[in-house]
Amino acid sequence: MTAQVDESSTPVSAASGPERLAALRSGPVLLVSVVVVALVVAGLRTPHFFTWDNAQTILRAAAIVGIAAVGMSFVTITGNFISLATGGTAVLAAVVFGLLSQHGMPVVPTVLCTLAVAAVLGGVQGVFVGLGFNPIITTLGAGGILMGVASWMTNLHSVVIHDSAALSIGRSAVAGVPSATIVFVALAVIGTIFRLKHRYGRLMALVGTSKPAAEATGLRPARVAIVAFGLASLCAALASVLQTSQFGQANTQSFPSLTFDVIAAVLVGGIPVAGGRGTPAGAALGAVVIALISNIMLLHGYSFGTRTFVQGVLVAVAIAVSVSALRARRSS
Amino acid sequence: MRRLLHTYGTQLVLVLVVVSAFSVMSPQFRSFNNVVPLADGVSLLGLVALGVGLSVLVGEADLSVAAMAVIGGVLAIRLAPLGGLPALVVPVALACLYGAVQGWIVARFEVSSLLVTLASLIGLGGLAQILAHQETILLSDHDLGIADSLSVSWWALTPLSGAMLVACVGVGLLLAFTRFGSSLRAVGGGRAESRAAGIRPMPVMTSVFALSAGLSALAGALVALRSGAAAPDGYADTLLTAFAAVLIGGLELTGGRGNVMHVVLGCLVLRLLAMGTAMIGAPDYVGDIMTGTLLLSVLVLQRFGSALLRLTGAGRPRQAPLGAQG
Repeated sequence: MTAQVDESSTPVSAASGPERLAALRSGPVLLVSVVVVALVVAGLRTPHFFTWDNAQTILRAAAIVGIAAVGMSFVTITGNFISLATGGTAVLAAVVFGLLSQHGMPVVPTVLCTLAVAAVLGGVQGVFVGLGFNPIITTLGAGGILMGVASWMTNLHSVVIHDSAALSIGRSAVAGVPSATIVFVALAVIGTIFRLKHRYGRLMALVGTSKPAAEATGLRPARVAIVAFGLASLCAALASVLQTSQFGQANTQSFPSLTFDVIAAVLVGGIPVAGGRGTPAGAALGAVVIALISNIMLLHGYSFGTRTFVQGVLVAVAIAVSVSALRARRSS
Repeated sequence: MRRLLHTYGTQLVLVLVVVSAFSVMSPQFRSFNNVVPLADGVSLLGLVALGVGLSVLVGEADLSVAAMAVIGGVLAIRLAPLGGLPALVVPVALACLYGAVQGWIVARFEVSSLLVTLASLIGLGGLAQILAHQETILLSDHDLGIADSLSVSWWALTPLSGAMLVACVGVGLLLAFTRFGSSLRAVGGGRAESRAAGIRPMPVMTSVFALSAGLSALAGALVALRSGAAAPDGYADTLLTAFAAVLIGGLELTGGRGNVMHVVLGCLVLRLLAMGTAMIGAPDYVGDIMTGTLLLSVLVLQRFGSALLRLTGAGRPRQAPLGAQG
């Protein structure tokens, strides 16, 4: 069982002893140690930290970013860096969801339409990247366009949702656990099983490791890019639908920091920036870690700016770790 | 002349198309009164884009410029009580230092600059919020003299456009006539080849990222001091616009090709577009949509343009890298 997981997380390399050790040492260990240190410090010094309510607050805060990060993890794993269009995609999805619902469309087709639109838009970005365009610049441009189109559709006003069924998606809870949290956990589990156990999930990692090797197996990296960006976009839209439904309105200011939050979650989650390894569960954990740290700092009264700054430092550390792990693998 | 058309043809055509289209749509657009705001607008964008352009020329990409401009502005307002000169010089110097460290990391560890500068973009954004206490900060009343002295204008030349002019000429000369310029192009054209030719990438990278950070901070500081205010969440569009300007101007992400004129023309196209859309009464986001669309179209053209030209028989085979020309 463990051997199987190991093999799939280092698909091409002939997984010799030291390599495997370096791979293991990099992501997960860093993550777990950050979580442990954060928990201990927090538990000792923060009043109200170890309460059920606070645990729920953390998971709820992590859920929206986490859902989008699970999708984004496929972009990074397939070696396409990251997308800067997450915020734009989420805003557009929120607006589409809100407008369709306002026009009286029943909730199920509304959600399906929103997700389909997002998946297609992500797929189009994937086509560009598959053709060899720089993913970051492509998604930077795409994000600008999506944001602009969303502004045009709303004329910069808020879209208020009145349909009670549409509102209930994000506001309902099962046994006290809010729907967004359930979707988040389910998506992380399904995504990770797909990535590790399904043939296509493993091949996606192979593309990230070595495009020529992937081509040799008959896989088209360009198509994999379409799938990866489509998934990222789909998940961003799902996160957006949940939050929009919970807040009851959509506007262009709805997701000011989502893009960077998601990137931070993916990188802190131990997915190496060079691609080829890592799991959606890592990205989900990354989102939880960031929510955890934000929560602790919030309880201690630190400002939004300080929290953003710490997030940037965390990303820098994650990049440094993943780069040094890559160098260790190369030199060994 | 022919060479000029060949090098800048696409960009000049774009400028002409934008100018004539808006001149037809809006009589205001033709007025001379627009020259000063146009020059100023180009300058703010231009200083940042010039930095981005340098990083693109060397085959990297500096994403931290947007945060650098914000922090330059916030620092300048905070330092204004010490006087106008320190308020300009200190932020720029600090930014150069930070940029140099970024460049050193990129060269030393061979990390993608996109990632290093992305971490900076997030972290420095937070730092700007901390420095400004999450609100728009203003010049205090008795420092408003600084704002006044930066608001003078001689014909179309304001301190802002003057700074842009000096920066353009300086960088242009640096690229055209110095060893640094040719090493920069060589490193951008091919990292491995340039190393084989005995050029060390480290000093080049360090100076390029120092310059791009410094120029962005200068832009941010100048604008903040002149308007008397700096917002820690400002410049949200700067990253998109600066990269769009550089690529529309004709630089390629693979590095090595292009010069200062390309960047200036790219900025001119975008500023004209933004001014034009404002004058025909269209909302800002129309400009944003056009910027994004232009950026993606340019990427497509870069990728397939040469193939297209060859197909129609109009193009010449791709030129040798610019380092070889001059």
